[in-house]
Amino acid sequence: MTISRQETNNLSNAKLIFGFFAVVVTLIILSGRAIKLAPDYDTSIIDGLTKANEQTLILFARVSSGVSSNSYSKREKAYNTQIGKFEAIAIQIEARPLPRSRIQQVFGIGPPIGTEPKDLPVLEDAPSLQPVQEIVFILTRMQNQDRTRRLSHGAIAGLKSAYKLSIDQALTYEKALER
Amino acid sequence: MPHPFDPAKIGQEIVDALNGILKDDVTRYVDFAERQSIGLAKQGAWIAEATIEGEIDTNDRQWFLENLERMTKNFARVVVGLTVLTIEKAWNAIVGVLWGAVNSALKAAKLPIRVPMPDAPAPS
Repeated sequence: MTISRQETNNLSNAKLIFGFFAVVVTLIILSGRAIKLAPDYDTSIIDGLTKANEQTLILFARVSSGVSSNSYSKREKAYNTQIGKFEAIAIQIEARPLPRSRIQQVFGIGPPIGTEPKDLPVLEDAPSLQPVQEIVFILTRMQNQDRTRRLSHGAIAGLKSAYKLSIDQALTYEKALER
Repeated sequence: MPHPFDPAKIGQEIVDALNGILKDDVTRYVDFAERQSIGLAKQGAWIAEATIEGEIDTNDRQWFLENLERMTKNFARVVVGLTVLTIEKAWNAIVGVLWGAVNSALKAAKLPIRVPMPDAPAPS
């Protein structure tokens, strides 16, 4: 059975009309909706960050004038505890559902629908995740240095500044989610 | 009976709502951006200074430079995230005022219709 050119044209027109209505209906539905572009505020994440921050600053204060690896064993537990706490918070942030950016897609400023998360250049996760992961890197670096050689006053100052920038990033975003 | 849907009043309500959101958010974000920009610049200066004074070795310097690069990217990500949050709040404020006004007008006209404003879509 062959399909005539007229029938093919009719089919294409029907597809076009259907597509047009689908777009219009989608826009109408979207236009009246309250939208959600960021994850929920989670007090347990804020509490976790606040407490872990306090304990980490105490650890920095303990070593602020520089320490030798001879006394590392006295600090080992504190390092492990703090690294563990921040790792747990990172998992909590990662596990929290992240809404798709529908409005960005409507405005054409977001990635196309169906883009794989791994292909998203920005905001594939809540932007507080990477700063928390960075804190884990910083504390792990500090622990390794403390264990293997002298941790100088200068190196501690550099690590502490890096830590403070990262915790500020994580806390600012997480607190902004309260809306 | 005056028309229950007053476009000028509703327009003003939208502007007021947006003003509140933008003022609060911009103040908060500018403070954050200022802290971060100064902090990142200071960290860059410290890496240079510590290298010159021999406080950190090549390996440390490399680590701190990579850390600075990651923190800079993270800063940019947070700024994007905060901006997206403001878009969300602005959109919801506009839709809330408009849909509220339409429903008030329908109620005033004693029509048994309510224009639904569904909840936020569930996260996918």
